[in-house]
Amino acid sequence: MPIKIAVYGKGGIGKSTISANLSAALAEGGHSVLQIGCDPKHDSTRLLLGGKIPRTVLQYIRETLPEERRPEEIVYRGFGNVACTEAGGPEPGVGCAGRGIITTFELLEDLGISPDLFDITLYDVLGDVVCGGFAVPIRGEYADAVYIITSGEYLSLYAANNILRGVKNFTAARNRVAGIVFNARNVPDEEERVNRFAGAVRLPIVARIPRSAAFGRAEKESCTLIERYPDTGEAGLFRSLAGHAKRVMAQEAGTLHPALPLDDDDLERIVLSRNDPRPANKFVFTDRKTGADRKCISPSVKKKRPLFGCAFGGAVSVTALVTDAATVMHCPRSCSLMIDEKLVTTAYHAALRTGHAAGAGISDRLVNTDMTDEDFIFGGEKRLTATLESEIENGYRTLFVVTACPPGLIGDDIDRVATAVVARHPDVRIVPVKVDGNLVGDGLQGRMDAYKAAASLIAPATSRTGKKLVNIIAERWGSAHAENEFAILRDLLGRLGIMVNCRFLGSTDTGSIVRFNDASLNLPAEMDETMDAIKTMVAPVSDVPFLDLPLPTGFAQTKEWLMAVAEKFGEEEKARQVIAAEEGKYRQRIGELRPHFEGRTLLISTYPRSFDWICDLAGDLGMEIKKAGITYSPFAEDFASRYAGRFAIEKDYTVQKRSEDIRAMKPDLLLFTYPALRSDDQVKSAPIPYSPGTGFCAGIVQAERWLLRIRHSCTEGWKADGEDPA
Amino acid sequence: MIPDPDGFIGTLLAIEGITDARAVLNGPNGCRGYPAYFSDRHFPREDSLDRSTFLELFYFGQPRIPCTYLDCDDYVMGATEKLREILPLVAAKGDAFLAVVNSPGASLIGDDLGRFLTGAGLDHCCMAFPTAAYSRPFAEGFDEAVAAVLAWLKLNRLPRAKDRVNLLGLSMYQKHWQGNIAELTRLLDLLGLFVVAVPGAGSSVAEIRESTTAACNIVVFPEYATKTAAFYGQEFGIPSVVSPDGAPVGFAATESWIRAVAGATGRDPAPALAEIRKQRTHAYHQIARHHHEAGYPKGATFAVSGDASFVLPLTVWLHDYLGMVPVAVSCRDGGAMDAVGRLKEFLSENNLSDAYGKDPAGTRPDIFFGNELTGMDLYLAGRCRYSVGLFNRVTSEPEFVQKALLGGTGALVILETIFHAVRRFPEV
Repeated sequence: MPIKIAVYGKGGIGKSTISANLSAALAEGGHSVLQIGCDPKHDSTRLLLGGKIPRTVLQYIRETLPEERRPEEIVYRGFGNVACTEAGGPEPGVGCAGRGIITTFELLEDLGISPDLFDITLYDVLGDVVCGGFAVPIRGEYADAVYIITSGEYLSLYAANNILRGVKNFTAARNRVAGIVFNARNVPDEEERVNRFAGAVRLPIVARIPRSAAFGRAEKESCTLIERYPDTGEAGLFRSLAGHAKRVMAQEAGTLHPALPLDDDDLERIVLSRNDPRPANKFVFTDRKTGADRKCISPSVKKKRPLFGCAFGGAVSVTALVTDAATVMHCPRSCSLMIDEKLVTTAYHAALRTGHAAGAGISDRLVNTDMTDEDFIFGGEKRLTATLESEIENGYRTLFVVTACPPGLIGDDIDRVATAVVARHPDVRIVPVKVDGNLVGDGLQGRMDAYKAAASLIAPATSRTGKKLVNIIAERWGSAHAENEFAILRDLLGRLGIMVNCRFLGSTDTGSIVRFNDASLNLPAEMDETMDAIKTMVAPVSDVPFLDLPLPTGFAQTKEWLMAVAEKFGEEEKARQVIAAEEGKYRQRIGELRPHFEGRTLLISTYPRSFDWICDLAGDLGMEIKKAGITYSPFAEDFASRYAGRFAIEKDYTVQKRSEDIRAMKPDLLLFTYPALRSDDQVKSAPIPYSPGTGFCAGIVQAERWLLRIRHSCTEGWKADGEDPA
Repeated sequence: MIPDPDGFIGTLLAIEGITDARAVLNGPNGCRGYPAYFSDRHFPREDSLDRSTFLELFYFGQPRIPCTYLDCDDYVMGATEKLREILPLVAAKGDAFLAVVNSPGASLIGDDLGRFLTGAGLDHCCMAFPTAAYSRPFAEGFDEAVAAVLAWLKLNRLPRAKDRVNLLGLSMYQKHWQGNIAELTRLLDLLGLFVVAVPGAGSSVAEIRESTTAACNIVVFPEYATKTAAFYGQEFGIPSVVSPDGAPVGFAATESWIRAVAGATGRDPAPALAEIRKQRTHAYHQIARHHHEAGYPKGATFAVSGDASFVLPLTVWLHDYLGMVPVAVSCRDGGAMDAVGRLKEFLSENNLSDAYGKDPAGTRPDIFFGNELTGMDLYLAGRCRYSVGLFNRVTSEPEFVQKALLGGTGALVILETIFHAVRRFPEV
């Protein structure tokens, strides 16, 4: 019956020499053998092949089209007709060698190089079980038996113990460890250490290979001992080991054992015979860095909650707003697809609804590197370099590079690529946003990191210009009404003689980001965690002060906000005139609406964001707010309201609780954000828009919608059709 | 940038295309959003207002494609605990078939998916895709996944019946996919053929198990089914037929398709051809009364980008039947090289070779046929006047009335779309 054997051991312990000699001995005994080298340095089969280093499977994958691949081009005939193949690996320092092992196994299978064709398949695997890829040979469907090579050195035994851990992880029920091969290095206390370890993990030492000059001589002649010095005692040891493998192959009782690894303390105690573990003392930092130097992190990342979206998508959603910069997405195609569709459809629908075509051409400045499986193995830096060069050729002088998971996992060096490209194009700026998919966190984290990257473009402040310029900070992302709202804002500011310097970030160009410090005031869109993070990020490069109010929705907020902005520029009188002009219109419209709302009750269900504009409006309309429920959101957790204490505000509000309140309170109107109402929620309702609008009249627009909803029937008939009557 | 879903999404949607199957993603939530919403919107099954069933971990309120929501720690330490937890929960929903698919990042961890399936006692109903066709064409990933599922299901060799066929190469990714299947089923019915299964596009596991009773596989889009057809041929000796003129797009190609299928199955094509004749007559009366005195749509320009087996018949038909002018014609990578060759020949014969491979953005076509996203982008930038989607997107407009792009009915839908579009052109 064919058998698959894995030979594991710490790097440099001699497992390739032992594997090759074992294969040679088995072949000499009349068995057909396939030896697969699973070490990136691809020298496992060298001694079987007379010193030749064969073309590796991974080289072959790189150089040959899938339809042209043939088994005979990667399997070579060695001593004793042993079939030899080497997985190989990427260049040191790039790519993912573990992924390379997985790919090698997949290709061997695809090409029909099946262990069933051989009596024995021997996997020679790199040292420790360093990652999932290198553990593939000990998975259930591969190795039937595992030999562990070790010397008496502590690190070698440590690796041997780790291998046992790997085997244990991958073994459901059956025993799979064939034993320990002791390859002596002649260190003090060596034999005793190995004996103690073997005893503790209850494994036999199936071969003891002495340190011998014979190995060196055979190695020099690029041969196995079995081939070149078949009559030496050392060669005899391999025949004996081959005999053990044959007994394993014959399923002889007692030849396979369970993996019983030691914990680290026991390993040290048993191997080193030491019983005086020293306590671990904490290092004391005397010059702790805090504040601006610390990374800003999103609520989900802080609390290690499930991540929604990914940082990659979040980052691209920000960098794509820079209209004269390319965003190079270093990723497989599926990653870019998701955010690309969101951005393009938002722009399209905004154009249809509002006539603003600010999103036109957004696809032109988004480009991806289309990373493939091959790039996962060999690294994606060349592909990234080519993409950057191509976009520079297309005329871009500012390029953001946003990374997805694979380049982060394989360790592509984005800074190195950027430095090399910029060296060839000194007029180009490349801004890496190394979010690595979701490795740094969720969508919000990605947006924060992108803001930080964009802040690196800000030119240093010289002196305050005193110009009547403001920056608008972090407008609500993804709103189809963003350009309309910006137009209202620009008009309001214009009435005070104030101009917008930079939309950081919202449909803006690189130049305005560079000139960020020309402004005298920053106007935050929201007052939330993201804004706190942005303040922290821009602090090292800008001292432009932030207004302490968010962009306003509705009359009361707009009045307060406009006065606050005006005070900063000494334009209070102009502001008062604007407010006076708007107040008359507002009061008249409220007067018309109030009779429809007066005395009616309101229930609010929203994720954590300010609803004070609703409260202001409800007050003007004479409505009574019964309660506000704050639902969970992965994107925000801080919540504050000027209305706290005036009515009940319940946090951690659930869908179930909302349904209960609807039944108990019977509000005249429910205002809610996601999640949607249940089919049996009998209440008149209106959604709270993601972007409720800006300026004096925004509340009126919403109240007019509420009025329509109040007049409507509670539940739409279609909701009853979801289930079959049966 | 190619704004198309890739083979990874193709793998997930091939599984989701089986009525009583569910794909499970071993990957981050970020990777899950697109295919999950895609599946839910284009092949709705669960009641989306009844969220209570899918509020638990791994689903996060969205019923399709539960995922292990991998994070940084999982990439380093492996996703063992989450995989152990998710499988029994998903299995409890009672689907007939499950498949765990690794995201691009997860494929680098090397988690032994097979071990978790065995550990959870689910290896009888759940298969593993440790890797997928990342960045390769959607169709390749779809085809490979369908073929892999068929192999995994260990279909039985059943007695084959002369009047039974399977439809291959259809996917929820294609616009109006359910209408297309209904239309082709109707035409096949006129040939006296019964469709046993459409693997990966609305058939159940039981129907797929029955698919080996088919006498012939009809490969509608070879890009999506070359490996699948080969699997049926090698394992069960079921032959397949591909129409030489491409998919049944437009009247002429539909007639050609009917003849090819009839020839391969020994059926009389006359009843189905008569039905197309009726639809041709109907179209004639509409066109004769509504074409503009300036001749539109004759002379209107169009760009098309899609699968070669669709692009070929559409280009030929719009040119020969309506007199429209192709200005940018491109085919996606992968498969159907015969169709690509014939398309180039056709363009050359009509002095239109320049159109092949051209970027639609540079040609400012009147009408763009292809990816909706590209169409939106072209429209936004004023680079086309109207766009017709050939593929579904998460953000596609909802479809209340079933439509088709294939067969005689599909031809009428395309004509209606074009005539509605050209009426908006100011010069008409």
